[in-house]
Amino acid sequence: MSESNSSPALDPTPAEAAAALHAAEHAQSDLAADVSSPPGWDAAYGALFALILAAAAVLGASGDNLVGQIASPVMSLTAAMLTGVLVGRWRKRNGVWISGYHPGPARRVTWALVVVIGALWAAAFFAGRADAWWLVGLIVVAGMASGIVATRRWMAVYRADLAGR
Amino acid sequence: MPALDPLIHAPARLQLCAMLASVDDAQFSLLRDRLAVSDSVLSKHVAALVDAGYVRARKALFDGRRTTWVSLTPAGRKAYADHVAALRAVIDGASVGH
Repeated sequence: MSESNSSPALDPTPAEAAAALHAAEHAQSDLAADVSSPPGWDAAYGALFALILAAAAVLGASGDNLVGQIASPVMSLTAAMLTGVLVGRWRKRNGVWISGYHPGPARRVTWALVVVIGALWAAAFFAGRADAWWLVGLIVVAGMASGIVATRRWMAVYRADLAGR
Repeated sequence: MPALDPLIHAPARLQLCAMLASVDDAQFSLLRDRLAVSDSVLSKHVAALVDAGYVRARKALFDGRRTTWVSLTPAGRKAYADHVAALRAVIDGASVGH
């Protein structure tokens, strides 16, 4: 690309407009195609959700138990720190950050995951309160699987959207 | 009908905005390499877009180094979308007033 700062005329012909648009969309889709998740990203994201749900169950079970009351926030804080580590790894690998809420069709995947994890969080809380630890286990596994599936689906939708423009 | 925006009409700026529109933010060095321009040229483009309120640039310590991250503002996102719409209108044969 030229390093010139000069702008082309602001009354492009249809061919010039098409060339400019094609170059812009090409830059966009090339960038999206080169974006990739760090190794173990999906599993780490799944583990993050598993930790959040386990923290909800411990919170539900804690009652007047001081250990439980301390353990749940510690687990949530650990999840927050893990999120920071994951974001840092992504940024280091790709030189960009794309949040799940980035405008576009992939955002629907994020909102679906938010609804699922929200429902599972409430379920884990009440399962913990009921001391139904077998159910907590199932919920944690479901949350982990949801995280893995959603991250993979999100990336596929994001790439397809930019490639299809 | 949206009009062509002179601030993002230059090829490098249009491609810069296109890349930024597809992410939340991007490292300055990545944008420089993808646009195949020098640091100073990209700095000028970014500064012009920052002045227009289209782009935000923030410096942060990342991975032990001071790096600059560039992102589109909501106004920049809208300006880019409008410019693309105007280009499509030109392609479709509609007249774009200026």
